[in-house]
Amino acid sequence: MKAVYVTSLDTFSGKTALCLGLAHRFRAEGYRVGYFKPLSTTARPVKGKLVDEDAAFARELLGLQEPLEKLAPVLITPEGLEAVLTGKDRRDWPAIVRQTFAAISRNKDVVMLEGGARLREGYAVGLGTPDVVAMLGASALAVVRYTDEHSLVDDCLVARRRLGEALIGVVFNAIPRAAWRFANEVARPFLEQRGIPVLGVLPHRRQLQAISVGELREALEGEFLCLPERADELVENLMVGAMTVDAALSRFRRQTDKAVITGGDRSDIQLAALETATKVLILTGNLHPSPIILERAREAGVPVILTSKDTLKTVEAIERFFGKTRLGQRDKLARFEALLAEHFDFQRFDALLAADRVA
Amino acid sequence: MLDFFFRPQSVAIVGASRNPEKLGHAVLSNIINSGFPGRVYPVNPKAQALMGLPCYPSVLEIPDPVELAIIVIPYPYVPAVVEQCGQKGVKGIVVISAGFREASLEGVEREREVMEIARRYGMRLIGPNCLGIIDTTTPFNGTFAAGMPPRGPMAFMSQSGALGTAVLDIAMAGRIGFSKFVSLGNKADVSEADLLEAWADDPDTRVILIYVEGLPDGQQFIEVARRVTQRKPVVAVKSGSTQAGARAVSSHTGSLAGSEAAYQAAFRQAGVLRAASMEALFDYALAFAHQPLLPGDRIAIVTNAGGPGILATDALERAGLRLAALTSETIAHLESLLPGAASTHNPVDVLGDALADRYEGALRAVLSDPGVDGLLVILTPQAMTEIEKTAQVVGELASAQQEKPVLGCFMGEHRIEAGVRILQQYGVPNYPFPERAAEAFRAMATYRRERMRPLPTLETFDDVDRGRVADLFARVRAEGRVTVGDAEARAVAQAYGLRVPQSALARNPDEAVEVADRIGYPVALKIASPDILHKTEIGGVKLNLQTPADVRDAFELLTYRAMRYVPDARLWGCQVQEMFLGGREVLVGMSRDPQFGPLVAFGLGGIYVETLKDVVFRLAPFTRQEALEMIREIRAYALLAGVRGEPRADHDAIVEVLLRVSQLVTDFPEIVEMDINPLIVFEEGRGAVAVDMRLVLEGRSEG
Repeated sequence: MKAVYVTSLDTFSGKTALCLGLAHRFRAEGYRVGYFKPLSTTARPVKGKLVDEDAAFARELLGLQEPLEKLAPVLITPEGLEAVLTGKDRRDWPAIVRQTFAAISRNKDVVMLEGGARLREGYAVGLGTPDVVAMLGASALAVVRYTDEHSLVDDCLVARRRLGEALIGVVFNAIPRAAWRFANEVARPFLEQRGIPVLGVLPHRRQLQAISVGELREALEGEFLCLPERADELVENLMVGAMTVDAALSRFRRQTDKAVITGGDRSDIQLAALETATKVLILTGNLHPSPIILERAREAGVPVILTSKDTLKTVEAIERFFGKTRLGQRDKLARFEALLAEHFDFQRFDALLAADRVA
Repeated sequence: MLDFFFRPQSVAIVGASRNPEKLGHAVLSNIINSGFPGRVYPVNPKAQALMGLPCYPSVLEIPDPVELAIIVIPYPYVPAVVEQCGQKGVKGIVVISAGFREASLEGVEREREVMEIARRYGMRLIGPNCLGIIDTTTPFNGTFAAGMPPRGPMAFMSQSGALGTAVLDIAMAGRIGFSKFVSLGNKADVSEADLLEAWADDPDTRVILIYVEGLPDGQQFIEVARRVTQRKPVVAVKSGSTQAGARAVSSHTGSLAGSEAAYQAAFRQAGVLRAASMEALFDYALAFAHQPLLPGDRIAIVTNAGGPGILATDALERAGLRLAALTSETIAHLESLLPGAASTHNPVDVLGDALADRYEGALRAVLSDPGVDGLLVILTPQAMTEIEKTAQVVGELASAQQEKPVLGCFMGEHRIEAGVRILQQYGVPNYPFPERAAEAFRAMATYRRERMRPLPTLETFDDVDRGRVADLFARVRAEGRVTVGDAEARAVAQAYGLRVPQSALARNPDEAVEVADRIGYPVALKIASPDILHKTEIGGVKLNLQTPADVRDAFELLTYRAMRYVPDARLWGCQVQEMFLGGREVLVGMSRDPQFGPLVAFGLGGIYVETLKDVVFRLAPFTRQEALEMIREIRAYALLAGVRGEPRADHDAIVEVLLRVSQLVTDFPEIVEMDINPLIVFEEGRGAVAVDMRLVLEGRSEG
């Protein structure tokens, strides 16, 4: 059995995508694949129960039989942390992880381990990334998401410093076109010379930053007035319609794949949005639109969300969300896998994995 | 065309009722009372006979053929009845019932269902959600309105049924008469264009009136109206021309109202006269309905008071008409007729003590003057004025000839009322104030000009490289972009035969200087980035760079600003561009209107566009003549014609650019916005250069 631990220097770097992308690939080659998240600090209550959303998505996507509590056995909330630090909760976390992992990995050829929010996390509860990697005998892979040239290189070096030889390689993610040459021709050879294999350089794709229509609805605590079945559609831009209709039409035309936010009573703006490339229409102030508009939206294939928040609150709520999206959708995963197929060196990954110290 | 609506052999009223509170009752009794000569079949399963006519349980059970069916039943049953009409072989259907697109989501579905059935059987449909139709010649009153309007030469179509009832009520007071009346309702099938087509050759109709909120198929309307207005005047009131009004229309009709500019251009190009209010609509309509067309723009005024005469003179001049210069014969004749204090020049003042005979002499003289095209008769009710007798005289003289229109302006209300009624009997419209009469003359003069215009002949340039533009757009779209970059836009301009400045991309200051040396100083520098559309707003343009040092500095400055203001932008460097000295800046733009298609703008260019808004519009494609009109219509036209010894700007070059842009946006419907600003125009014969051009392509999400 092989265990591959995917970690990152920052949150929202692409860990879940890489885990699942590699899992699919292993499975396609006939291996029995498992998933395990040793530590989660970002669990959220869903229907009265704490749930790690990445693990839940992985379970659903890979069709795993194990209950969610086994896939992500350690959920540490801020309150939970306090209990641990003050000694009220004396559970032996490493032991729990070890035991659950043993159960999970039975009858598996490969288990994909997803790291916590970031590489430096987990020490407080005895589950620092390097410790977990060592404890479970995993091979580590670091996803480094591009922010600027400097961090791209530094992040890889930090990963090597922390994980040592357990790090079998790094993957650059979301490299913008402007930094493409730097990443491939400068950073990559530099790191390779220092013994850090760069297994993939994945270009930036706006769609992967996108937020889904369903997520928007959740963030706004809104309701679908039509086409809820389009909840998986991806939104990349946000526009507020508070101008005159002529100006609106002109501006809306310059932006694709957008969500348009406007009052339920601004039928002119709503129609202008439907006239252009709009992914979802968000109506604020709990004002229902006229039936004709809903019909037009349905014809145009644009879902309509109604929220009770006013326009300002709506924008704030969405902006908090944007850019920090979980994978969460099959559509996005499919796009990510297409990128992997083109830009990830699977052969080399397989070779490195096979050669790694633990069998 | 559509004769079965107006002159049916037989009509079925589905939902006819004996209960006077039901609309079905009103429709049936209107048809009977109107003296309709065809066969009438009430349909109602619960009655044996209605108003003396045998009643049928369904359309299918009527023994004879039925040409027209009027449906006045609750909406849930409408589709089934339309189906039966189809089986019966009915040709036209009027759906009066409401509860369709205007009402609810289910209503939208229901309307679609009804239309599917109608199309399947090849039936035409008016409504739903309407008042019905009237033809006063047949005579046939298939509405639930309270009575039948008098006969007259106006045909009226209204998108609003309620407004229709008000208009019919006015008509019944006797001031206006209709040949036909149609309440169009939701316009599921029959639209304004269909009725225009049908009424173009109607001998009973001299003028067509339209009240409209939106024209979903604007291009078709223009195409039809263009032809119809050659035959008879069409006057329209378009509501929803303000922001708030447009919003009201959007939620009322579910279509994005075309922009006000587009409607204005559309009516203009189609020769449709636009009335600013319902009052103006009938002011114009009365003049067209009963008076001959205005043969020229020289108007004579005959008045019994100086003040109103001057008011009328002002109003006529403001309305773009000319005050007729009377011939010396006419003046001499007037001098012999009128007292010494009278004015024998236009405006002719017959003085306050004028009786009917003095008016008669003056009117006769003025009407027969060959320099007069139209006549305005003003009367103020002074102590001795013979109001009715004068009205009689005006009416007789007006109707004794058929060449020159005569409009009345009997001012006042109480005393002149009887006179106004006499004028009406003679078909002389009366306006209570001179300004309204002048506006009516303006409408007549405008129609005269429009009618003289030949139907447009469009020219196309065959030196354009359509394939190149198509490839370029394909590439832009493949990259998921909707905005077209600077260099790409230049390529598009060149492919369509527009002159563009020499220009090249420089990736660093050294390259910039190299390019500038090659092009020649002065040059302009513009930041080159696909992510910065409005370069000026972030200070991304530097003009008039005279030396290599200037160019180097500007390169650094622009790059620095771009990085500061738009940190995420991809920077390609700076575009170094040829500069032009002299020339006048204009703009040519296009925005695709949701209802009318490509709306091309022309105006004074440069940085003041937004503020001065000196812009005129035409819908593409347009003719050379229309392009030339655009240039002449801007307020600042004098600047192009040349002021203070400045040479005239090259009009032909502007016309050529307008026509080429018209062709470009017609060839490529995916262009939703574009503008060339500035287009620098040199003096006559020296051409024009498109200095900056931007394009936005349509970005449809799949779905």
